Amino acid sequence: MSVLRAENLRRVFGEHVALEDFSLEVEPSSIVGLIGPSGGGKTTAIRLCCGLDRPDRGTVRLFDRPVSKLRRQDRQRISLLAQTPALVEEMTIEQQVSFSARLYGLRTDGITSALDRVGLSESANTRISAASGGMRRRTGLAAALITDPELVFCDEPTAGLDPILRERIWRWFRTRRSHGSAMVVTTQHIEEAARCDRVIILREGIVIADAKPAQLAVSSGLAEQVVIGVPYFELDRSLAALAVRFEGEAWASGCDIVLGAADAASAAADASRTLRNIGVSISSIDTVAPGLDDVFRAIVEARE
Amino acid sequence: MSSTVRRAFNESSVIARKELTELRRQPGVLLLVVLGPFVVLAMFGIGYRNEELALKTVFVGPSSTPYEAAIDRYAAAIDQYVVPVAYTTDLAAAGEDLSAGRVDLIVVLPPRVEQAVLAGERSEIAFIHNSIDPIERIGIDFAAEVAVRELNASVVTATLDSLLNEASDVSQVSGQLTPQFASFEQAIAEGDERAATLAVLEIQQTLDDMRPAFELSIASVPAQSESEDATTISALDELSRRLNEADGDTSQVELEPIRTAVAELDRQLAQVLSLDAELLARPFVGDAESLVRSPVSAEDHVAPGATALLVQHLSVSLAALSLVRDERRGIMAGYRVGPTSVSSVLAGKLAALSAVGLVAALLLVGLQVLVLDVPLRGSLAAAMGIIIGLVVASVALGLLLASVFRTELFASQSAMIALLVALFFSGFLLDLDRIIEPIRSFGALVPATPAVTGLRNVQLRGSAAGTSTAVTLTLQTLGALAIAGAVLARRWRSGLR
Repeated sequence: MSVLRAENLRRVFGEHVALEDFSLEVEPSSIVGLIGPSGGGKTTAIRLCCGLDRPDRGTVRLFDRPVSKLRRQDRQRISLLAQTPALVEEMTIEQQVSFSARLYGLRTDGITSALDRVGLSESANTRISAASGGMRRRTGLAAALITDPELVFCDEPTAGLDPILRERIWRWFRTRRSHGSAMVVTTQHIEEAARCDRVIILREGIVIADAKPAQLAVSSGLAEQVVIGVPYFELDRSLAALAVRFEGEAWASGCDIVLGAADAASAAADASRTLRNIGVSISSIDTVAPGLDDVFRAIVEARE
Repeated sequence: MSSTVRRAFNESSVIARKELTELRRQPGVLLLVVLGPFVVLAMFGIGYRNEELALKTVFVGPSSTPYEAAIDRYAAAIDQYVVPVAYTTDLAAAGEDLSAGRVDLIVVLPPRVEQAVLAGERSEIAFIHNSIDPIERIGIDFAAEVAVRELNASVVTATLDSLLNEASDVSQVSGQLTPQFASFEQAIAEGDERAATLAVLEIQQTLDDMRPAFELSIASVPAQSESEDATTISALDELSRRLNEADGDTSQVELEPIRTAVAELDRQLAQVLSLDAELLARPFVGDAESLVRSPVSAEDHVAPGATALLVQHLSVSLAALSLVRDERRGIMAGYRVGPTSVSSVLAGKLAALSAVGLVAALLLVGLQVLVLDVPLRGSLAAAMGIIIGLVVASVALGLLLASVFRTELFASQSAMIALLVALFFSGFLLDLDRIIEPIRSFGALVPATPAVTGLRNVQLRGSAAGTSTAVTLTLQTLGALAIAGAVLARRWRSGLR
């Protein structure tokens, strides 16, 4: 049974359509990523799904109940980490996390480990008003997850965090997933989409892609690339020969030459022959799948 | 306690603690909340001149008239309202002084009063001022009225003086009656018809001479009853009638009734002559007596009302801004997504902010009573009941306003509007009887309205606890309605619990 089922959501602010025909189904033990540029409708989708806002059209059901009719025990299973963490400036970090736990009727003995997970054990007594942006975000995360929710809405949880901390947090997400939690995560870090079980790309309120990360490259129609290493003094001559052979789909990237091709294997064989014919020795040759950045760009551009 | 109630209580207490933590960490706010209103009241108490506002007045009138001397003579009688600073014939110069604010009032005295009076006309004294303050205008009108009455009373005094002098003459004339009666009796006894007739004629002449002045005197003297006036006049008439009826036949004249009538006239005249003209002109003096045990100074009168207004404003503002701030920070969103109910959130805030407001209100009243010497004549329990009701109702009103208007600007401005409503419709500034219904009922929207009356009654009149019960109940009802409205507004807006 899905923990979240949203169907055909539409939300309009004035004349601006923030979200159009948005549907989402989230199963337990899964992470769904909402990706898209700013103003794409990610936060609107989150707010509608967790019941903070009402759609102009469509329905949202959590734990098989309409979101507006959830019981207290249903809400106890949900947690939200907003884009700007909702913190009480006058509290310390520890008090803030304890406050969240007590609101859910929980004991506060898990606070230390919660703070430890987000690297805030040393700063437990720091006042929120004196905390950095990163510390605030981690405090919000600890407060949202200390309640051990079954469904977590995280609106850009890793924004502003360094790569090491981002990695720790995603590891924690995966741990929660392995314990059965479902997560809806928005992010602007395209590479984080690869960590999700499913990715939805939103642009101007419309879903332009909805697939597993591995399927996104295929659906983008973006070709694999062949990367060829040549001696630096042969770079210009090699690039000229390959540009003629591949009709402009060859460009330099450092001391390497990159080829774009639908069939990477035959392109690699063809390029080897071409360079051998002009007496250039090849130091390396590899085929590379397109990056998510490229996939995202390609999908967005294809819709423009 | 059922688990639902216990859970709601736990949620509310968590939120209440959060509110108190927020406020405790802002000592500046607490200091401002407690000491700010007290300092304002203290400055008012120290700076307010608790005395009558006498108007600096220039008198303008013709030269060489008795006015100037009269003003000096009567200055003491009107100095409560008017302080004479000059007597001049130059109205234009006086007008410049008035425009420049050097004087408050010009009194223009009429020329030739005697001629006007003889012509049967009243003379007009003009009062010119430059005030735009309606309350001060009422004061000036009142002072002008009092001054004219004093002047008229002075004229009446002078007239009565003159009449009493005439009555004194009458007394001398009436004194002649005794020997005239003696002559008449002797003439009758001796059978001297001619002498008796002459004596009667003399008596009639004397009576005719004294009659007008006597009648005036009788009319000027406030009789103890209408019948007394009638008796006196009828005695005089009876005397004249009997003498006229005799028509020269002295044997028809009965002396005994005449003697009785003359004796009555003498008694009346003696009474008239014993009177004081000043007393006759101003027979009444005012002696206002209040049921309030001790006098109430201006600052005493202002303090309870000001307390009600300040406590309302501070409680409404604290509550409204707290809720709006939580909304802006996203904390309310966290509550809505999680298991915390709207009722628990509002109950927690109501408890914490009421506690803070109550501490501030009690300190404010305590400092007033102990430092500014504002009275607390009624029971402490009654005052406490009203203050608790006021604080709770005001916090509830703040929560309602923040639930309807959800931005900080709206919240602060709506708190200000609530203060304005209290200022104009609570009876703090203006007597509520001056405001027509249903506009007056507008004041019932804010908790300060019953609290102003209630605190004044308890602090200044010394009302007992029982009399404040109605006020406390009204405040509790207002608070309950406001909190119910806040819950409904939030539920309606969010479409949640």
